[in-house]
Amino acid sequence: MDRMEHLDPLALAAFQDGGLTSGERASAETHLAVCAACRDRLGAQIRAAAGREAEGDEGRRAGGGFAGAIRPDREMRRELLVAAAFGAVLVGAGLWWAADRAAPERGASVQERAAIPRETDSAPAPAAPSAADRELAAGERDRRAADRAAEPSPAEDVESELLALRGGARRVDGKTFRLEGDQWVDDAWTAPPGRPPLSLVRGTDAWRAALAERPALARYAEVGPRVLVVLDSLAFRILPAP
Amino acid sequence: MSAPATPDRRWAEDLALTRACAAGDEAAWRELERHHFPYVRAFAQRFGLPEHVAEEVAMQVIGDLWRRETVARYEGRSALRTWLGALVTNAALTARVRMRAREEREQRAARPASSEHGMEDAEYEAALGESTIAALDKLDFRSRLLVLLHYEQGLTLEEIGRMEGSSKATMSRRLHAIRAGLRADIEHRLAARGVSWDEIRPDVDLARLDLSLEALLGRTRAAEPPAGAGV
Repeated sequence: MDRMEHLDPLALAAFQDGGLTSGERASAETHLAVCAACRDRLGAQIRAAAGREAEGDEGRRAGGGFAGAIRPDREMRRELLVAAAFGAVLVGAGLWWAADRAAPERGASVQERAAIPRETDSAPAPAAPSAADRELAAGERDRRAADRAAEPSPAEDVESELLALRGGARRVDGKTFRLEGDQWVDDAWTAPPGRPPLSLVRGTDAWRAALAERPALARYAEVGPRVLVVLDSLAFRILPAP
Repeated sequence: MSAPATPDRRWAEDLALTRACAAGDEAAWRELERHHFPYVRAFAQRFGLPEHVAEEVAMQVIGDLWRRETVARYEGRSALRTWLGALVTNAALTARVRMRAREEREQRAARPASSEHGMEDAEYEAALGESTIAALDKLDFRSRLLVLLHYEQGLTLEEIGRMEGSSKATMSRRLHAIRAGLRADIEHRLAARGVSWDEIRPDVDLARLDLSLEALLGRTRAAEPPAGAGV
């Protein structure tokens, strides 16, 4: 059997950043289309660079749950959002949301929330971000700006944080959901013997098709912006609309 | 495969820094250490590894970077941080494969045999899986890579498009066309195996093909042995 020559980190990095010539790129694409090991490395490095957990569902559970895989700068962002939520209570929710809507883009809104002092936050806060985390966040501003569109809306984020502060559990139609990281997880969820959860993005054709087949999903979707629910022996991961 | 050196002007500063390091410039080393090593440590924390393993991964990469011949390998064909990220990813996945292999050895004896799925389900699942894989294999490499990066690796169309300088809309149009072709091919293959339309419809309906592909490719990948990570 021929030994397959894999793409080295230099080539994968150049592929990711568009630094290959068209011929090299075609060659790399051909290799990636048939080599799962190289695809895994490319996928993991891009997901990690984008701040998403860099492993699959199986590994994420083995690694101590979703919360353990959340990127450090996301923790920092959540902390700031909690502070923003409390600030909003103090100065009036209407004013806060009006200011948020008046911001020219979502990036500006996040920066404004970052400016709200943390002294108002009396809840147990996540660990303060390290210098390394801040360094990481600064270095990837451009990439994250492109990814912001895929993040939950500010309203969904703040709502999720407030629910967490109320006790971290919600009950809907006999099911109990607990907040793990930024996701509400059905108590019935266990490591699957077969299929991993099916991801359903709100507003997509797939979401509408799933709703048509299982209308109960709509009620469970109201638990939060990101919900992992078990229904008819199948697991569904409900995600916010892009 | 290693990319031949053709530096890109976008990353000229990064290249100048690494070349200075390779030449033994102490100030350049201090800058590399101050500005980039923290990034390596933080990046290593993103793979869901236990903290001490992530730290070991970071130290392994940083230790390797201290050698001039390693830092001299950077060619300026990507951002320095993208290359550092690729090095960390390589080391992290290798560490994860080793960790999981050890865990599996320890758990294998205690794992009960699974018999939760009925025979009919298993047969249908196998037919759907084989038909889908066969349909994927028929795609050209570029289309196949797009499907795999999106459904198997979970990359967004924007991320995939960014790598080749195409817009999200372009990638979306391409994926839509590929899915339509896949659907027809899978439907044809399943029908040829005697699977009834009622069984086919839910999984090959275009609106639900996303779910089927994600589930199938996720399951396929989970069932594969750990990939060899050493390069």
